[in-house]
Amino acid sequence: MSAEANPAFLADIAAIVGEGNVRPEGRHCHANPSSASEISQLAKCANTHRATLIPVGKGGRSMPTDDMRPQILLNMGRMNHVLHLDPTSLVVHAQAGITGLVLEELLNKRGLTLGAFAPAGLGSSLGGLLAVRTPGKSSRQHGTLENMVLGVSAVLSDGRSLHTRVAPRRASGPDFARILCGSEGTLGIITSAHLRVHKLPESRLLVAFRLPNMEEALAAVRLAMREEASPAAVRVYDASEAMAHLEEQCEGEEALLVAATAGPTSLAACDRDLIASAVSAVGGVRASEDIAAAWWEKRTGNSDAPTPPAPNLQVSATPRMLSPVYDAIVASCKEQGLQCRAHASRFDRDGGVLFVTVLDAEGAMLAARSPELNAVSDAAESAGAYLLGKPNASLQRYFDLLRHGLDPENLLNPGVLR
Amino acid sequence: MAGLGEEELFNALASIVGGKCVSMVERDREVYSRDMWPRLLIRRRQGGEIEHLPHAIVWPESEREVAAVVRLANKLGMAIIPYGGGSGVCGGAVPLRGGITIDMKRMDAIQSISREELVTDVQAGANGERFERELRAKGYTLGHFPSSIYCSTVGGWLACRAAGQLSTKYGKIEDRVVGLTFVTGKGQVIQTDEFARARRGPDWTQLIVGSEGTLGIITSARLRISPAPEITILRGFAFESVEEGTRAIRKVMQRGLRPAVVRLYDEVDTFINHVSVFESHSEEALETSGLCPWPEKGAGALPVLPSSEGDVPGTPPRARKGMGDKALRLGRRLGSRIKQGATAAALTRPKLVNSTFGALANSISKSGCKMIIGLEGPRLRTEVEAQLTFAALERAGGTDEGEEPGLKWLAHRYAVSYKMSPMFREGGFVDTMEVASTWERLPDLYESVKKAIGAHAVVMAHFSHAYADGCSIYFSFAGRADGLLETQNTYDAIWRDGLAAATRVGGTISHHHGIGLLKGQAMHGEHREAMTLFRALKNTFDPNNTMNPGKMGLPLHGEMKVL
Ligand SMILES: Cc1cc2nc3c(=O)[nH]c(=O)nc-3n(C[C@H](O)[C@H](O)[C@H](O)COP(=O)(O)OP(=O)(O)OC[C@H]3O[C@@H](n4cnc5c(N)ncnc54)[C@H](O)[C@@H]3O)c2cc1C
Repeated sequence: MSAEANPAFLADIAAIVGEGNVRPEGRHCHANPSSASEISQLAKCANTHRATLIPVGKGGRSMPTDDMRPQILLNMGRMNHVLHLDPTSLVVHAQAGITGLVLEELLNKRGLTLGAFAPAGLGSSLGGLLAVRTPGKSSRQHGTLENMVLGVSAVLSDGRSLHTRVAPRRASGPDFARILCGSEGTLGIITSAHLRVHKLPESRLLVAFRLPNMEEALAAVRLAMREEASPAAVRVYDASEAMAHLEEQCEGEEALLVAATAGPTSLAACDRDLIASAVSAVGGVRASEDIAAAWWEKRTGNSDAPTPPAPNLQVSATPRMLSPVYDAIVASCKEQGLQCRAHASRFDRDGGVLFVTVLDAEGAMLAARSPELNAVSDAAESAGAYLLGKPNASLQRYFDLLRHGLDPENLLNPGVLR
Repeated sequence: MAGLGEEELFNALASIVGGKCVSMVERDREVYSRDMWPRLLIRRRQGGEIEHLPHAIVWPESEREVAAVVRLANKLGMAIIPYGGGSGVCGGAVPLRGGITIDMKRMDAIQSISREELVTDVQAGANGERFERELRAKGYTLGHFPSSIYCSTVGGWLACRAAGQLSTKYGKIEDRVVGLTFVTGKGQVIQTDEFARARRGPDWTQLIVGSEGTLGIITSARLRISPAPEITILRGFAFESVEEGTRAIRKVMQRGLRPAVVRLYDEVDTFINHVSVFESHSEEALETSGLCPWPEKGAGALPVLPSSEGDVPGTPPRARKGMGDKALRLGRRLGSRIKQGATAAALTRPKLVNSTFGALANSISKSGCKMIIGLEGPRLRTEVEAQLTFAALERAGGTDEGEEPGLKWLAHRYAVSYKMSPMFREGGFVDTMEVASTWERLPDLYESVKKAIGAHAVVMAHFSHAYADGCSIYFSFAGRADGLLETQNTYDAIWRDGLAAATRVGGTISHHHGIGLLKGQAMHGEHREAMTLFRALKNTFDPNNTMNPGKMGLPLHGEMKVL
């Protein structure tokens, strides 16, 4: 097996995307296509040269060790155009390479937004955001990012391109776009998507509350949502997290709840009041709005205050299970002589996410996959949490069948979702 | 039947579900030869032969039994047809290759209701009305009220991506489902109710919902429920035109407001609603005729919505304020002429009738379109939302007509669907075509589909099921021709032209009735290369083409290549 790329392979790719958009790397080749039709030709080229086609996100990809075929590494950076903005229907059609943040900025200028998603979750390209399912891209007001998809365009392993029908809802068969969303580039390469967008809210109100403990704080969130409060964002901090993130002192087990409600002013006020009454029902009290303002500044990246390092454990759970899961995590840490702090956010109708920072006795963060951290995450899982990044094991064989049907030669991102 | 005699087939099935739950009797087979697809109703009424009969019908009571029957069918090379309420209107339950029809209605248990998570586990055969009534008794609602709630099942809803009348708030059934238990075409049982967003890979639930029994059988589902609404607020509004009315709906939806129901009737539909042309028989007569299901007064599903309980008024006067007497008389005369046997003559000249109705409707009143709007939910938020909504509608040119039209709609909301029978009895047919698109394309969709249908039948429309990004249009049409063959040809032409028009302007051919047999060809027009994805799903779950073969544009016989 030669270490150099086959010149005919390189020439074919260059003929498709242009000399300047090709970069050989060993036997492999980086290609920067600019359109769906170029991706379609690259797929055909991969078939001809028995190469694999690998969409590379920002972080790069680990290569499958047992696959000796040359790779076409697809960099989607040039496919960063907004193809159409339909201001009547509030639908944007954008290429897969545009990042969520850039798209959001373009929309904001026109009084529009992708939705109440945390900016921190929108750094990747649109293709990546849709192809990889993570629970962080969800909000109470607008659901998951996938719910914003009206239709996708994609290229399949044999180079054919397809467009799922764009409609607000359909009853013409299953939701075909959902085959491609979440499949991490293994069933087809998403080249563009039609997304619902929203008007920027007419007003936004920020509030903060102190609650006796995490359990009551999470109960308050649940109660408010039962009353159909639809905040743009809610976050619950335990006492140590409140200190680490907001430099707020809490007594004992106290927890902080911050929320942003948005929409027509009277509705935003109504949602704020619903949260307030849920909070007081479980024994909480109003806290200074400055706390909420500080949180919002950080969330939107407008704050100079130092941000604590990213948490080393993320788990999600249904509304009822969030509190027991939190307790299990705390107990496991205590048992192992570790410290931890946590906040819960990304609440939607199915649940929320706990972001946990686990530290050793000296206050240093535990490394990923360290035995102690694994023990904590096991404890969370047995208390009913879902750990991130696990495929649905019981359905793996069906995924393999689906994959075999759509990519019989196993050309698309072969190392992933095995 | 793969060499199996009738008796052997009976015994094989009986050994799975018990002898009492298998039938191969002629009469039962006839009953299960169709659903409520109007084309088959026409055929039946006009003496046409039954083309497709199932070999057998079974009534299993567990997932295990369903799986065993499916495995048997695989072994025998026979088809399986899932059957819920049989209320489908697209021929989805027709046994094109014969085979075994699995009626799910014995699997109707509500397995759990979780207060904290606001979800319920329910078996697929549960009847819609009973299910909602039981939820209500415990203080919840599914929020799903299709007009067919009395005669359809949870499984049928999920199979067809059904929509209820309050979908604008609660969403369609696909928005209410968290997960499924599903028997694949090979007889394996899978569950898709893991916490979806925490799992990598595709969202399997959404790949099965809408597959109309072509991939396997849904045996139970986990659905989202909501606390029963504390209040319901209803209103009628009037708008000058369809454009004005639809723009108003769009404004409301795009402000993030979520009324439970918004229905805008076009000029003709508004007019017909007033003179009740299709009301060939009085409701009393219908109730006693026994020809169609009719709930006893006050004993319905219905979640008679709390605030209005007990004070739903009787039928208010038909004429709206300001509607000229003369115009009304004219309309009534036209209406009653159609009633009195002139139906035939009128319906065979659809273009004339369409233009007459259109002009008449326009001249009757300056404010040509009627809207029904309602909100429900917890008191506080619903009241605030209602104020914002009504103010937005007035700003957009609407005239508030008070509560009465809303209450009237509520009281009769299931009635219109059951008024079809007389039309068939009189030799004509009625059907509905529900299409949808983004707002930008909606005017094109409305005009082009109306024109396409209008060439063959009397047509009217209302706009319901609104979203921030678009809306569905529900066309009703009535037609007639001489003899079975001609009638079928007219019927087929309406669908061919209507669906082609919807596809051409970028709409979808179905918003909530599904595809079945009726729209199989049009499926290819709508999805084109994306049908590859459907074939891949089919080969994944049902490689032997056992499940409901020949539906949804998939082949009747044989194997299928994905790529
Ligand atoms: C008077 C009337 C009013 C209607 N109003 C509405 C309305 O308001 N909204 C709306 O959406 N629809 C409406 N419909 C259409 C129809 O009721 C819906 O399509 C309904 O979802 C069908 O449910 P069902 O249980 O009767 O299914 P069936 O007619 O028995 O079956 C429909 C299809 O689904 C398949 N299927 C059934 N059960 C299962 C299962 N468990 N697993 C897999 N596949 C299955 C069948 O094979 C068939 O292809 C109406 C119909 C009538 C006759």
